[in-house]
Order: sequence, then structure tokens, then C-alpha cells
Amino acid sequence: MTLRGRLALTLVLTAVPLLVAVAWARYEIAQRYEVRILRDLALSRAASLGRERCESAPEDFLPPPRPRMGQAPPGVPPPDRPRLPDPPARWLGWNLSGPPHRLPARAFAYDDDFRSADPAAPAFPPGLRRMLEQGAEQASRGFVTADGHGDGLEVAVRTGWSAGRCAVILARGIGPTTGWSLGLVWSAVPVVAVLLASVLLAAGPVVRRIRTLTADVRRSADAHYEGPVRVSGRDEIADLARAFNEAAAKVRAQLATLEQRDRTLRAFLANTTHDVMIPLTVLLGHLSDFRQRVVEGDAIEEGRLVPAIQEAQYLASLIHNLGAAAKLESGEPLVERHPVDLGALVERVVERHRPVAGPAGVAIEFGVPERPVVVEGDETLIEQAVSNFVHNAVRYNQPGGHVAVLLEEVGGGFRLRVVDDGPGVPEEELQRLVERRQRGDEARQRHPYGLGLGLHIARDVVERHGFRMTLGRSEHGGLEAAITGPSLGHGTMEGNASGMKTPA
Amino acid sequence: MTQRVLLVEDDASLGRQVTDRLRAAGFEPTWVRDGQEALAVSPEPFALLILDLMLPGAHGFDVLKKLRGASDVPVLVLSARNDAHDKVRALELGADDYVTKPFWPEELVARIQARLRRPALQRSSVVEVGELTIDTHARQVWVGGEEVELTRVEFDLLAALSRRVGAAVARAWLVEHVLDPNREGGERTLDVHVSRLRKKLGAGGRFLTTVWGVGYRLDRPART
Repeated sequence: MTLRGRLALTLVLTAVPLLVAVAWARYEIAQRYEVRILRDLALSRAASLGRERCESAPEDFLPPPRPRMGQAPPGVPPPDRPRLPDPPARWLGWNLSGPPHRLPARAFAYDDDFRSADPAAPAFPPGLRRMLEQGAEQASRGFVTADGHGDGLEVAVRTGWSAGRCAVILARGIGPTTGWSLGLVWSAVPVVAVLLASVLLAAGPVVRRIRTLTADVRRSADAHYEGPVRVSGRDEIADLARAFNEAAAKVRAQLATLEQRDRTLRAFLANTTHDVMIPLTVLLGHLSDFRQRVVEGDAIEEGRLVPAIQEAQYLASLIHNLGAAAKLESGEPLVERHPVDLGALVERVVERHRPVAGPAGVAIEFGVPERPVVVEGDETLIEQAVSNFVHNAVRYNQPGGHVAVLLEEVGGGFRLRVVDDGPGVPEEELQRLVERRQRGDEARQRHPYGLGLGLHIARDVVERHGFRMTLGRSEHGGLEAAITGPSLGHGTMEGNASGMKTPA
Repeated sequence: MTQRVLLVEDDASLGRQVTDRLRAAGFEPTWVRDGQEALAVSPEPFALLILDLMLPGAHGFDVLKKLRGASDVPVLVLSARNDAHDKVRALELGADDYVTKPFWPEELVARIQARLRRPALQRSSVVEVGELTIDTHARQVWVGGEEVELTRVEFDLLAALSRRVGAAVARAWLVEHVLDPNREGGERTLDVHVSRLRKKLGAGGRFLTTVWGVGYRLDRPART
């Protein structure tokens, strides 16, 4: 439904019942007034005639008026027509008292049994009779007049002269007509029409502005919310336009975020593919080489297998790191915060690298305190960080080299060191290593130290957990990577199955 | 006696590889390929259960939940997703350990062996390692049945290592807990004590090994 239609309907739906109610009220008031007039007429006539006269000649109680020009029949005094009371006050200019007096009325006297000696008197209306018999002093009702004109009004009232022929008076007159009452409604129609016209007229500019705004919003939506809609005025429609502009700004921001995320994801996929494909290709090369040798009947010495094993290990580590990087780069706070048993974690990491260290001729050992050292954090990320240190320490070592992972309790916290006796990293390189670097360069930049992504992730993880990471030259000549931080103390892992105390 | 291990893994290649490795490592593996089947198997005869989480039929967590209602058999979870939540949840549901894919077969076997060895914690005061017999309560040491006289520091050193046979103990910890703080110095002093102790233990001295970068360890004798 249009705004105009709704306004018109509302106006009509409010005005019509209101007018009908007013007309009804006017009719009711007028009728009451008429009833009072008829009663007063009957009572004052009874009072002026007196009981005796009334009872002796009830047919003369209030005869029909004679024509103006005629003479009164002899011996019959003209009945005194009582003066009518003044009409009640007008209300807001509306005459509520009813139509102009349409008396003369007639009145008839009845006895206690509601019989009249007046031959002209009608049979007493049973409805009024019932009401009087029930003890009412007066009763009234509308009736249809003999000429079919309708709107007759009858009032029955007790005179107080019981047991005589003048016990009850029935006065008949004309009541207010329904037509007259509805006249008010008809007279209000032009007013309502004018009102309706002015409302519709006033709604015009509003409707126009809403249409303009609608068109603007559609245009803006088609243009991906790039342009703002026009804001004019300071009313609710202007507020709506402003609200739309605000919403459009939010939509734009969200679109930008989504596009950014999409670009990041594409870049991540591209980089990941690139990073993963290189070691995978190298691995394929190794496997192909082995097959070639077997086909040609050559022996494959263990040393030849080591690079393939290392490549596979690197690949696994890389994929874990890329996953960790995606998690860290999403910028979310660490949601996974649980008690982590560092001793068990160290054991797992060392067991993971032992199958690679062994064939490469690198001895890997670890030492953890007897009691669990528990920290709070993301177990997967911490494990990845430690694994990255160990991975590098093993990979860039030489046959006969060593790697040790040492977990100790210091003060209220822990110190986890990964030490090797490999060639180490020159001091000036150390700082550069942990600096943020472009992803996707991982595969290209993994030599000579190959620490890029892994160390970067380790540093990120350590910082996110509020730990500290230091890189330095170990006393054995290689690299020493250390993580320090607060621990939750012992016992937190009590009963937790991951609290593994006895290393293999 | 060979120990039976139940493997719940849906991937055919991985399942075959793992069962082969388990057999080679001296276990008797039983391989179940889906969750429903796993739910039906009684854990009774198995010393350990290897459970993949992503299974057809029923999730590994459901298998774990049902199992834990009835049995205390150690469970080692195989997790492909590198997501701490999965691991934490598995441990909460009663898993004993987890191994993240990809893993080396040796790594898996090592973790199983570590898990199965666990209940054999030394509770008595007497520890036997090869020819060595150490009574930490009576503070006596025998090598091949012959008692060896040790100094207080030497004995404390050996006792500290014998409490965790097979585990490397950090030098710094030994310096702090074994050496007399009033008289003796640092790690060099410790090394001197160790070399003296090794000499005194004679044939048993070979179990007292130096662990590079960590400290010392009382080795478990190789199983024959």
C-alpha cells in the first residue's frame, strides 16, 4: 500500500467512526431531552387540571390542538399548553438538544390497570407497562407513528394519583429523527474531504523525497556502494539517508576486508604451492635416482638416503609451518590456551627428529626435569616452534655433530635450549634471520642457513605466549636458541595422561 | 611374550605400513579400518591402541569415549590436523599420547615403547642396570655382585641417575643437587666426580654415559 493510500485510509477509518459516535451521542442526548419535555408536559398538565377533572374527563387530558383559525368548542376550555423548557446549552457550536420543537404532543390518562376512559387513547404499550409494573416512575420508548413517519416518542409517567382513572399518563410526541442525527455526518463529509485532500497534498513532497532516496539507494547499491546518497533537510528522511550512508560505509569496509582476505588467501595458496613443490620435486628426484640405481644394479648406500629423508622431513615441517603461519597471520589471539607439559613436548620433538638425525650422523639428545614443567599455551604452536629449532640444528649440522634439547627450571619459570655444534651462524646474520620476511621466498632462501620461515614462526609463537627468545653462539660453536618464560608450576598436569615423565 | 597392539586406521597404505613396522618391532598388530568396527572390538587382549581420529563410521573421539568407559588400555592418537584443540580434546577424553602426521615409523614405535614401558617405574629402593645393583636406601652399590665403596658425592650422583634410568640429567641440576655447595665448585668438579665414579664401577661404568649438551645418564642395558 502506498504511503498516500495508507494516510487516506487511516483518516477515513478514524473520521467515520468518530462522526458516527458523535451523531449517536447527539441522538441520545436529544431523545433524553424530548423525553424530559414530554414528561414535564404530562406532569404539568396533570397538575394544572387537578385530579378531579382529570378523572372525570380523562379524554380531555391533552386533546389534539385545534387548527389555529378555529374556535374552541364551547364548554371545553382550551388546554393550557405548558411552556417548554429552554433548550440545553450548545456544545462547541453544536446544537445537542435536538431538532426544533415538534410538539404539539398528545397525552392520555390511564387507570392502574392501564385502561383509558378516553376512546382516542391507544392501547397502553406493553413494554412501558412492564417497566412501570416493575416499579419505575417513568418509562419511555420510540415508536413508529401512524403516518409511518417514524420517530414517535412515548413517555409513560405515574401521576401519584393511584387507584383512579388518572394514575398513569402516556404522553406522545415526536422524537429526534435518525435522519436529522446523520445530517451531522453528512455535513462533516466536506470537512473530512478537505482534510483528506490537505493530508495527501502534504504527503506529496515526503513521498517524492522517499522516491528520490529509493532511486539514490538503488544507484548506490548498483555501484557497489561507492557513492553516497544525497542528504537534504534535517528530518527523518534525511536521517534515513544518513543511516544508509553509514551502512554503506560499513559494507564497503567489509567488502574491502573480504577482498583483502581473498587476496591473502590466494597469495597464501600460491606461496604454499611454490614452497611445497620445490622440496617435493627434490624428493621425487631422489626417489627417481634410487630407482635408477636399483635398476642398474647399483647399491644404495645409507648416506645417499639421508638427503631424501631430510627433504621429506623438511616438507612435513614446512607444511606445519605454513599452517602455523596462517594461524598466526590471521591476527587472532591464541584461542588455544591449555596447560602444556614442556617435558613431554621436548620428548616428542626429539623423537620426531631422531629418525632423520640418525642417518645424517647427528646425535640428538634431550634432558628434562623429573617433574613436569607446565606452561599455558597452544601446544601445537609451541611444539612447532621448538621443532623448528631442532629441525634447523639437525639439518645444518655435519655428520658427527650433536644436537641437544635441554629443559630446565629457573626461578619461577623455565628455560628451554636447543644447542648444536654445527657451523653456527655469523653474529651479523642472527638478527637478520628472525626479521619478518616475505612469504613465498622460503623455498628460495632456505640456504645457506634455511632458518627463515621456521625461525620467524618460532619468534612469533614465543612472543604471542609472552615468552622470550634469544639466539646466540653456543659454547660448542654452533647455534644456541633459548626460550624462557613463566611456568604454571607442577601438579597442573597431575592425572593428565600427557604428563610423561620418563623419557625413552 | 609379544604384545598385541590394535591399530584403527582407515588409510590402506598407511595401515599396511604401520602394521608391518609394528610386526618388525616385535608387536602383534591387529588392524581395524573403520570406526564402527573399532567400536565393536573388545580392548581386552591389547596392550595398546593406536587410534586415528578421522575415521569412516565413527569419529575417533567416539571410539575413545566408549573405550574409556570400559578399559584403561593405553591409547595413542594419530592426528592429521595440526590443531591443538584436537589434541587437547583427545587427552581430555583419556588418550595417553598423540603422534602428529606425518610421522616416521621409528617415531611411532619409539612412542609405543615409551608408553608400554611406563608402568615399570622403579618403586623399590634397589635398581639394577646390567652388572650394576644400586640400593639407594642402604646406600650400597655392587658391580657383578661385588660391593664398591663410593664417596658421598659419587653415591648421590649415581643414585640421582638411577632414579631415572634411561633419562639424561642436566649437569646444572646435578651440580646443584649432588655437589656440596660449601666445598665444591661447578660443572668441572662434577665431571671429575663422574670420571672417578666410572672408574670405580669398572665394567658397570659403561652404563654411565655422557650426554652431549645435556649431562649424564644411566643407560638402560640393551635388550637381548
